[in-house]
Amino acid sequence: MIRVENVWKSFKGKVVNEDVSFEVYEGEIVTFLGPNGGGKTTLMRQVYGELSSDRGTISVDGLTPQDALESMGVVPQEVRPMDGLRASEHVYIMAVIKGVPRDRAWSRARGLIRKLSVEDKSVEELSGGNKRKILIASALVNDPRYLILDEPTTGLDPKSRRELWDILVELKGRGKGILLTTHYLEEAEYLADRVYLLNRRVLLSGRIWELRSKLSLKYEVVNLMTGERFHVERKEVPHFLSQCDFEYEVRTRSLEDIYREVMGSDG
Amino acid sequence: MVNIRKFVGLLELVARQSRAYLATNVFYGVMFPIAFILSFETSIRSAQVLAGTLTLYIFMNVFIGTAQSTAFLKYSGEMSLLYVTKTPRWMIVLSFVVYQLASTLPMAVGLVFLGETLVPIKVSWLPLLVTYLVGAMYAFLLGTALGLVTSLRTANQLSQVLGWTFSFFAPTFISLQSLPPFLRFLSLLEPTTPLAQELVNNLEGRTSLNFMLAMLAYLVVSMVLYRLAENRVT
Repeated sequence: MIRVENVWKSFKGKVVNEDVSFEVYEGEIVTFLGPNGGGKTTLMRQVYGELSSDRGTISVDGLTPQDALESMGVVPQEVRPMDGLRASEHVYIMAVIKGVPRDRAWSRARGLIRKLSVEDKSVEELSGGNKRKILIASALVNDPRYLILDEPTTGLDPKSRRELWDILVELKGRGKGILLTTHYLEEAEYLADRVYLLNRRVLLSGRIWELRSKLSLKYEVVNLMTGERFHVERKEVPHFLSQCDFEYEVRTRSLEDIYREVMGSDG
Repeated sequence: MVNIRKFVGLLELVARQSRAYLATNVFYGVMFPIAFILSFETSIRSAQVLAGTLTLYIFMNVFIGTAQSTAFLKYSGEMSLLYVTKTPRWMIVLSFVVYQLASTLPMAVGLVFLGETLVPIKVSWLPLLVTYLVGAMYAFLLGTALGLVTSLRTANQLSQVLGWTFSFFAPTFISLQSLPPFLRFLSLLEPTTPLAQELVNNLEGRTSLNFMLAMLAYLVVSMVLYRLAENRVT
């Protein structure tokens, strides 16, 4: 289990992470959502030990992040594959550096790029989606228990994004604990078992349905003729609907509504 | 044992990535000795000119290459990508200095052999090797520190300016004694000064404790600067 307890981090006096706590268990996907500059990447970099926390503790299966790097596959933010290598070479060399014996490193590298449907050509010639797949294959090549992905789908087209989602769901099914950050609400909604809304501190957390139930005391009634929207308290919905003289649709609030409300109230 | 395996893996990575730069290395490897021979056709034949040329190999090549490589590794995220394989930062960086040394050492040795046929020198090989290693090491550490704390664009520009400044606005191709006294003191603030002067000594069969101590002082300063730079990025 990845356990983060009361972590603080600041740069030049500006607090970037404030008293952040969370856990990631094997076989689940935990997603951090938040605005640019909200501290997601700083938090991830502490989890995989590239940055040290000012206060608080982070442990991975009881070890410090630096000692536990072997059990984590990491794709940092805005990283591209190392140039001058072919796709299989990239995954192979990362396996060798991670300590996988050379003969097994080649077979694993070739197996992974075949499984992820990536052409074995120079990484510079690969599409954005395939470059991300190479990074994920490189992160997976030593079969880590946890995968940490910092905005893995930013800038990808919808098809590539969907392909990556399917890969992540499959990995979760195989028992990997996955921690990822994203800007995309639909990504969190599709993938996450638990969501954390982060803007320097954790503003809200829980399973998607829990978030909805926490903040969805109001339902949205939409006038299908005019598009006009009414936010109605749950207990008043029957009475409100009995008064309606138009075609309507009643909706629960989306994650986007929740996100807007939480981030909006945070200033 | 694990660290040795990682280091060998890193060297393999660098070697594979460097295939694209093979032509550049061959070009510089051929160009400098040719330029050296040409310069001896028109200028004074002296150990100092040979020492100046070696300084370009030892300091400028390593300093500029390391600063730009480090900044690129950081910019592209490769530093992070390699760090998360549980490879210590110093090892990532060391794999690059070994590559820099490995690619420049044969050229430098070739140049000294070439120089022996053109210049009346008597090479002290062991002190020359020590001078080479100490100079290359602080060139590497200074380059790494620069690359860590600056952006890619700044590192590219600044490493060129500093590299050429340290190579040509320092007594590398001329002796320290040929400078006016006040400039001699100022020139000692440049890391290439003791390096070039000690190279002259080694090429003429001597060693100078003062210049070697000055180089060791630069090595210590560069280590401190490197540690400060590393702390800044964590």
